[in-house]
Amino acid sequence: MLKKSRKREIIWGIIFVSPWLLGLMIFYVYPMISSFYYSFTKYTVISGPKWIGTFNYEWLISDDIFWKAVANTFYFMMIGVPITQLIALVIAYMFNYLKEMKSISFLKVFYLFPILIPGAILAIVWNLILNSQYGILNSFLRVLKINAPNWLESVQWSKPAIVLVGVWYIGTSMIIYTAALNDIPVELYEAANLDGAKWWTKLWKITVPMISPAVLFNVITGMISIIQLFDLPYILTSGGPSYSSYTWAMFIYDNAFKYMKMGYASAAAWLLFLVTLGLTLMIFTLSRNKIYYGGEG
Amino acid sequence: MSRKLFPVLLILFLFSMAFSRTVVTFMTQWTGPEYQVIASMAEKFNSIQDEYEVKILSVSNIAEKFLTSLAAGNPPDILHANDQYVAPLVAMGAIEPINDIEKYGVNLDEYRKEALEAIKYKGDLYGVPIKLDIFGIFWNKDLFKKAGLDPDNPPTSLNELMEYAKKLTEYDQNGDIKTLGFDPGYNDKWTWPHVWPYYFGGSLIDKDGKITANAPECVEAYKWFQKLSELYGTKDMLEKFVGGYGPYWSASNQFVSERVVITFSGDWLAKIIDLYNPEMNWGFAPFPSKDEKPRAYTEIDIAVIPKGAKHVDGAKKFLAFVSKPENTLKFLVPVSVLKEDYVNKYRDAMISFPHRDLFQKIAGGVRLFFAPATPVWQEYLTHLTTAFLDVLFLRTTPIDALNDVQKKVSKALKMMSM
Repeated sequence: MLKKSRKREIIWGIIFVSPWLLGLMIFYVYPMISSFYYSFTKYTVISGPKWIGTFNYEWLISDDIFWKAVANTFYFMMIGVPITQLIALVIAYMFNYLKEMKSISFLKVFYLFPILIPGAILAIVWNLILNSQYGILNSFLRVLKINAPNWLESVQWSKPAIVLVGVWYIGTSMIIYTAALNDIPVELYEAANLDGAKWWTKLWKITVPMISPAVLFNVITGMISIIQLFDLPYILTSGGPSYSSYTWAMFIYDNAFKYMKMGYASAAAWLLFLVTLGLTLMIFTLSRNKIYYGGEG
Repeated sequence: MSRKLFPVLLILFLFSMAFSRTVVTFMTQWTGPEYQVIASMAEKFNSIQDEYEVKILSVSNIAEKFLTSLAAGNPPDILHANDQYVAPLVAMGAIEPINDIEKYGVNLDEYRKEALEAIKYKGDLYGVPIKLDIFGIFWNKDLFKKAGLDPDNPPTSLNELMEYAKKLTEYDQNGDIKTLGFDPGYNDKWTWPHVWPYYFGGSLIDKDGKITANAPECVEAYKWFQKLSELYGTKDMLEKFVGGYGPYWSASNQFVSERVVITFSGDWLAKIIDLYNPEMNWGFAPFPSKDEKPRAYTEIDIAVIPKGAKHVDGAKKFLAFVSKPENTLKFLVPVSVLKEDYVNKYRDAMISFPHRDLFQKIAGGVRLFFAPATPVWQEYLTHLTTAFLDVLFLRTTPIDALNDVQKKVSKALKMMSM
């Protein structure tokens, strides 16, 4: 039997969290359930949904553009996530190494700055930088006598160009790595020094295991954000040329709002959700014995 | 005190309700001079009667906003659309026919017949034409002269156009394209991939509405454009040149900045030239047809009434007001949606357009044609754009590109009819 004061606490607790719960139900749970239902219907928003069974999923499987969008999204994930995480880690390591330097805070702000700029504006700026004839990047490459590519107009270069722009978003990961590196007890390195450990050994045996939870967190959040990639390719290339930078999220957007095929878009969105969930679970399972959370002996 | 105040406020409220006017909303994406014209018409309409008050809502992403409002059961009373979207909107059940519009005072006899036909779908009239844009080739007379061509004689056949394009193209010392002879639409946002089959005697749909993207005439048209690109150089050379294009509606427009000698565009390019390079010496002519019969692609801005609009009567009365020649002719366009007789009759009411005679002369001597009426227009256009650009940039063959379009759009049509 709960005490009266405990009961009151619970009631107040529910009252306090209810706005959030209500928001969660209205803006997340309801759309998710309804989109699952719509994924089995033909639905144009204007006329009511018409049940068509698994047809949307069957159409998706035979849709070339869908598979192009999936392949591009995986390219961005497989190439973009490792590159951005590696660069973020190297820079964070450099900051940690130079932490006694007075100007280090300024440098951190410098690297963090791009994440403060909205993606759409950043994409417009990069559109100018990557202009194949007049862009600053190609002008620089020409000075170095390097054959300047047609970044945004060529099927071969559109994806690397977007990965390049994505590198500008390393700020958040870099800050998390910096914090993780700062948290490593100095005694571990001192003990390793006494044992005569080399730089490489210290990196692999102390630094990497100690920051492994941060790496796992950054890889998962990086993967989730890249699997939903929309704004950069939408503004930089509109998914082109020839669907070479068209992503899964763009496919969902076009079908939902350009062609008004809400049922079809819902089916694609549910597949995206399932793939994201599957990949996250896979990463958790594969990394279970490789992540060091401390205090486990 | 409060007991006395309540009935007074109630009476005032009922009084104001009784004398307030019904608000008729007109959703448009116009922002510039066209918005000013429609807004001034609404103001005038509001001042001459006291039953309705027309409010103009200028919005971006009009398609999304309109469909959202429709789904929420609160659509505008009038929607500004384009002739290409009549069939898709009808298929979605988003707009109502307005076959009775003449009862409200619209004189359909005043309009160009082809303009009215373009906004009919399965025999029903769905809109009132507001303004018209005619397409053709613009050429730079000074650059013609520089290349030794007669500046007053644009190419009149497809062979001549190909020959001129070659002659007018210049390369720099690195072998990169410096000036392009003819740009049919290399810019992915300003390209009209659906018009070309019609210049080659084809069509994108047959009389039953079936998709005919890979019909022989369509393939022939796309082959002609691939040949044009091959004549300029390699894929890399074209991508590099087009990558340097600036924003279309600016001084760095490729034609306005004189990097392209002949281009295909709507009549609005004249406004861009007047704004950013008024000294340019240019001409306008129909794009040559294979059968040498002059024709010109045309687009029409129209006003339609959405299904579920709450004030249909007010909407139709306002459309009737807009349709009066003295109002329709206020839109700054070189070619009117009205027949030439009516244009001449109301010439005093017209806003003068500097190049009107030039465009009018062309429009008078060609057969105007429009985009095909198909419920899957948006998807058709998207896939054709990809196909056309792939063909232009030498990424694929015309037959493969158009077979792919045929497959995708036929599938979309099948999905729609489920």
